[in-house]
Amino acid sequence: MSDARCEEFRELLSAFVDESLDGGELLYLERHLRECAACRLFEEELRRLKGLLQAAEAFRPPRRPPAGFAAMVTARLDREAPVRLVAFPEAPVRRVTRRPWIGMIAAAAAAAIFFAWSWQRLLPVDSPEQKLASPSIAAGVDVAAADNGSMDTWMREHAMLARDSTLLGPAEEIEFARFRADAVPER
Amino acid sequence: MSVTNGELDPGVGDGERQLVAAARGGDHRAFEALVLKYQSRVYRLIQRMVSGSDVVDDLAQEVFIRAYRSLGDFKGESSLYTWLYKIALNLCRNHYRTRGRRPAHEELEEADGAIGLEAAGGTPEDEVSRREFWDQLRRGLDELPAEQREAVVFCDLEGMSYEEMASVIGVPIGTVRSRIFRGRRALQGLLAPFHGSAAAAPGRPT
Repeated sequence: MSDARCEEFRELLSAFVDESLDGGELLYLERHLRECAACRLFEEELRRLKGLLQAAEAFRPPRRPPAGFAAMVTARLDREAPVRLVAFPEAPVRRVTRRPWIGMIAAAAAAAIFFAWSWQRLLPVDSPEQKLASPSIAAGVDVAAADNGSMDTWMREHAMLARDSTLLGPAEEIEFARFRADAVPER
Repeated sequence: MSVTNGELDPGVGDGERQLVAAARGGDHRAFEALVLKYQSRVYRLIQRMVSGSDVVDDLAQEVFIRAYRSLGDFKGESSLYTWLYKIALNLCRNHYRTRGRRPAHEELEEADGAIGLEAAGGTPEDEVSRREFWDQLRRGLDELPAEQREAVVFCDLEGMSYEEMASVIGVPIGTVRSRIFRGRRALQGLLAPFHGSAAAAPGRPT
């Protein structure tokens, strides 16, 4: 007899008559079918219904398209304006979004760098700014590590230059002031 | 590939690919060749989904017009007929929405009159039984929720596999399975006089 437990097998039975069950579900259902007469009857009804639906068009065959159907479709296309014409891609093409402002920013940055470099070249050779920007300062730690003996000389020299410079912040001013007090004679 | 009503799924072969490429290039004659190839399938599907000669003619034509206009979206990842079925399904759904509450079997009676059923032959009694069955089937399909009707038509009338249905309808296979089951269950009640026993089927081939 059919019971509440059979209800879970009914959907499986529907897929079963379509031969769309496999693996564990198929085994599970077949085991139940061996034990349950109500589900075997339901399976038989489903097969009858499916057969009847499939046979329905033997009773009333579908109408075929009217003669000249394809020509009618293309005649309609001929009357319309052309639509977008694109090549048939072999593989999906990744679309790249164009951002014209990126080029403008790059050009402005290049111009600014060139201007700064040109201005640097125009400064007097012995100006404090130019000396502070010298390669030895840029290499800072390496210079000190390479020659500890010349460190004090180097710092004193640059502390003198920095005193009048606007390039240093408050922390650097205090550090250089300590050097001035210890070792750098006033000019 | 899968089999649909005994016909091999054509996929997108070289010849078809060339026709699609030419159609994309604006060659209407190439597109006409594609229409010729698929018109019967599309026409048959639409008749199974909706009724009424005029409606079927209009929808079938619209399927191909829309297909032409959106050929750029066809990537060739599925077969062309699967892609056409998706377009046809969307148009049928729009038709259900705009048709309102008017059942398709009324359109069928008005538009098709008495044609068709006599094609199966047999006695006049057989013909009456067939007509009753057909009317009941149409009425039953009409009364199903649209998603169950689509699933039953694709499965039992079109003979599509669950995988193909999942691709065309755009839902998981489990959902397809559930919709087919619920649709069949609803039809079982309506068609009980015809499928109650094998002998009760009107003019059923033996």
